[in-house]
Amino acid sequence: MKVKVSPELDDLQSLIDQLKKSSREIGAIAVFVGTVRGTFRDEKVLRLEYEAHETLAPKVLEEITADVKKKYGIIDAVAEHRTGKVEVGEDVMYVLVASKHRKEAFQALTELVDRIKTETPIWKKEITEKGAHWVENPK
Amino acid sequence: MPKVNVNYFANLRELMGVREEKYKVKEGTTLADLLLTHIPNKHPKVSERWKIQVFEIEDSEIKYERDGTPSLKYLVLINGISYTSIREGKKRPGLRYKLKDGDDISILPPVGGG
Repeated sequence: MKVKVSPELDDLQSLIDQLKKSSREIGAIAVFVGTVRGTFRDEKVLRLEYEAHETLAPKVLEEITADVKKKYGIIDAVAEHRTGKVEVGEDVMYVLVASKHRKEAFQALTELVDRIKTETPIWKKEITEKGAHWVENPK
Repeated sequence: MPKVNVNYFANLRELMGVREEKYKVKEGTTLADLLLTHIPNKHPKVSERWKIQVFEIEDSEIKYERDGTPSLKYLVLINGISYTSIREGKKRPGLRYKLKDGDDISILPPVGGG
């Protein structure tokens, strides 16, 4: 299990390769890539800025990932989230789930992404051509 | 006199103009006292916006729970533990928690990652 909250994400293919090597039982790896959308309603987004609680965010990420791993009996998982300025089109979050079969991988991935977005102390400021605002994710 | 550290994030950091600051308080000062009095007194220019952002508001006034403590919109952590879970002996004092020297208080707006 690996979690990371940092200005840089690891290389996605390397993360997949590491997961594959972690167990011979793995038959499915589900991957979520969160990227910066270039529009907010009818406004053009210029960039996003992420801020995290430095000590708590990785801890919460680890707790959520461990919780989901146990709940769905998946083999391994990775959750990474960027901080700082992120430009439109850039990747901001990688979540990977490795399991024996695809069904539990998809279920675990969906729950893990949802919980990361609503429970991890990370905040997002959206800077558009009309101004800037902090985004609150719906629970 | 206990000294506590207060951390602000995201929109609150912008409102207060600082990421963290220290407060020296009298013995027996509660978390509610800190949020209702000490912090707004130190930031009078933004005290009204602080109130609206951090507390539940009803008829332009801070809404209070049945136990007499203010109703919070934001999560407050004391040394990484939610104020709702923190213990003093066998009790869970919530906002009546008495601040201790060295306490680290984090006030967390609703999250928005991803």
